[in-house]
Amino acid sequence: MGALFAHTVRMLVRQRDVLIWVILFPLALATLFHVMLSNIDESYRVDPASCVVVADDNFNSERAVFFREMLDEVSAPGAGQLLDVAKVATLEEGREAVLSGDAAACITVDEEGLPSMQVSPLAASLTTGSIDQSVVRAVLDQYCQIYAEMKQTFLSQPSAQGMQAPPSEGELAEFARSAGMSEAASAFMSDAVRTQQVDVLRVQASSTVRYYYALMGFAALMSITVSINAVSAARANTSAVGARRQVSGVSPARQLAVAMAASFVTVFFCLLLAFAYMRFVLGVEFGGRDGLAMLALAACALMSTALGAAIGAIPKISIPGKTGIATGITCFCALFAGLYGEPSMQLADRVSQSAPWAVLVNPAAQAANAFYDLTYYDSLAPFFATLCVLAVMAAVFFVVAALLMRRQNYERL
Amino acid sequence: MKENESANSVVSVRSLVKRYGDILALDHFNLEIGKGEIFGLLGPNGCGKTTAINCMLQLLAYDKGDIELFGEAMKPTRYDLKRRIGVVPQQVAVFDELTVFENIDCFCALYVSDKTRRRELVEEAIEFVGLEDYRKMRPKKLSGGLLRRLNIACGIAHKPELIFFDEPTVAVDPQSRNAILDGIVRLRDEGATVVYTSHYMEEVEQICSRIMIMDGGKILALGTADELKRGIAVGEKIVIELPGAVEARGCAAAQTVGALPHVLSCEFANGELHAACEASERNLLDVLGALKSSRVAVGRVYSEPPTLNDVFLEITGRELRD
Repeated sequence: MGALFAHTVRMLVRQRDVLIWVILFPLALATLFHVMLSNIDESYRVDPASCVVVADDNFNSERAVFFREMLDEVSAPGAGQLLDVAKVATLEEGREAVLSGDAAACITVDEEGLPSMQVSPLAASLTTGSIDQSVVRAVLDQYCQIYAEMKQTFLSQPSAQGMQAPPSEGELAEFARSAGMSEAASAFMSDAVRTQQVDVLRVQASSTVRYYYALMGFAALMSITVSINAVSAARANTSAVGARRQVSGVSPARQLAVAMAASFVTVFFCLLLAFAYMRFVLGVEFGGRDGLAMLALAACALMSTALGAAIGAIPKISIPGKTGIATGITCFCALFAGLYGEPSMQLADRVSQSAPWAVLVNPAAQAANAFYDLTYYDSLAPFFATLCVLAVMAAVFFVVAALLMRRQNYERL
Repeated sequence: MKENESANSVVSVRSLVKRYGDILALDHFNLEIGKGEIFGLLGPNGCGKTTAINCMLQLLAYDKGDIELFGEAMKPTRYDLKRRIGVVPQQVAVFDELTVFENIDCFCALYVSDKTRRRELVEEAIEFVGLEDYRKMRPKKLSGGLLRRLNIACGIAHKPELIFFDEPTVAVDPQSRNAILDGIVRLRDEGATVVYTSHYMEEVEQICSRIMIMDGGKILALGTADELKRGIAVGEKIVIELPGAVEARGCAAAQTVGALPHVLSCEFANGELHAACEASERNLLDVLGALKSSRVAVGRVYSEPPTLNDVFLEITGRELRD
């Protein structure tokens, strides 16, 4: 059986339609996606706005302590970096940097510890300069707003009623501590009073990976061809080689089992190739769970093999006819998995919301979901649920194949 | 059938009936083939040859009858018996994606699991059919004749005791055809029993020890080629060229010859006189004498024994290849 298995795998991978549509086509589509979609990710990325701050006595004073800390926070390298801040000694140097275009804005701090920004009229007319200035302005506006709210809060306290002049930041902080409001002061000092970005997903969501996951679903369904060919080569009523094999010393059931195993292995490695290409060459994010991704590939390969067996067992249809049916199913299911661009993605989402059962019975969508679950969910429960759906699909398809094959006679005169 | 013959039978088919709807493909078909025979199944296309073979191989379910191979009842699950059988189908049945060596190895693997033994058998089969120079080539690059040889190698590599050849020489050039026929005789010499179907009577006559002529699912005649020929009235066929003879004169000559006592029939066509005669030592002399007395100029003269086509013609009233 080992030799038969090896020859069947060899036969399958050398078939032109398998080579083109199952192995090369997904790689070509993935490359195409990479070329088309890489600009989308670029457009979603925000570079830190470049600005300078005049590090004079006002900036370094006790009054501006909160501002300095805030500035450090928003200019810290990382995903949340908003500003790229450079310090200059004097206002003249700051203005020079702005006028030369090296910085979008020059930030100064007044005696009260409140910031203000100076911009170049020339830069303000340019789109990029305008965006960077807007970012700087938004940061400063938010700071001033929080400062004002805190000041109002402290001044409304009974212990602050005796104060004659508007308190500075340092006075506010000292006052809050002495009044036993250290907790509130700490809160002001910390991030707690600012809006925080919290990711509910394991990894940062990308607008493009769904296309690649849909492509994996598409590739899984395109692989139906493999088991259609394997079944056809093992059945007496579908091919001459099948008839020849049927009269041999190995039972048809065992030969079909070998054909299915060979199909599964072939499909698995075809999908593995597509996965590896996307993961390591194109850099598509699969959540870093490569081991579990193998499990997803195996489930997809099993489903594909079973569906191919069911289609391959349909009587009185030629092999090209069956391949046509498989292609039709693949293209239709891939539409609702969101493969064909933004409208297709929106359609898939609408169908998912209004008719969840349609997603449940869509093999391409389930195959894509397996990778989606793996990438984005902390819990593996959704992933294994999807694998179960794929396994149930495979079982149903195998049963259909068995029923169709049963009692099919090889008849000719 | 005598008892000792039955005991020596490799193939035994009794009262086999097979229907395709209203069509009776095999009508109480009987067959006994002894060990070491090359048995020819001869008949026009659609006469039931392939159906008979497919029933014997249990590829087809049949309505009635018993089939025994190697003295044991043949059933679809008798894989032990199937392992002793080789099949060379009418249609070339090989994998286009595998090389010559891989194809033979793949089909041999259905019978022989030991890799070393299989390798020997595959090499022997390649040598047997003369494909040594093509072992790494894929079928699509082979000519029709070489493809047929590969088809044969795939069916015989496991050294079966009983081999079914279903019209293996269809669309094959004469050189490859002779090579195939020589190979079949060699297989017989090595101990195999061969069932050979064809509608080429010359081939069957050339290699088969016994011949069954079939038509409409029925057995028309059975025996050696000589026995079959002896069983018909025609014993000799004489062809005489009548140079320059017009239609009327040729027909008159045919009438004259046809009136001779040993001549069964005589026709004039395409400037030739075709006379079918009973077996006799004086046929040629009598015919030439009759033409001489009628003052008919005679060109070249041929005399040949009857063929299997004559047997078929006499039994059915039509040509084998009609």
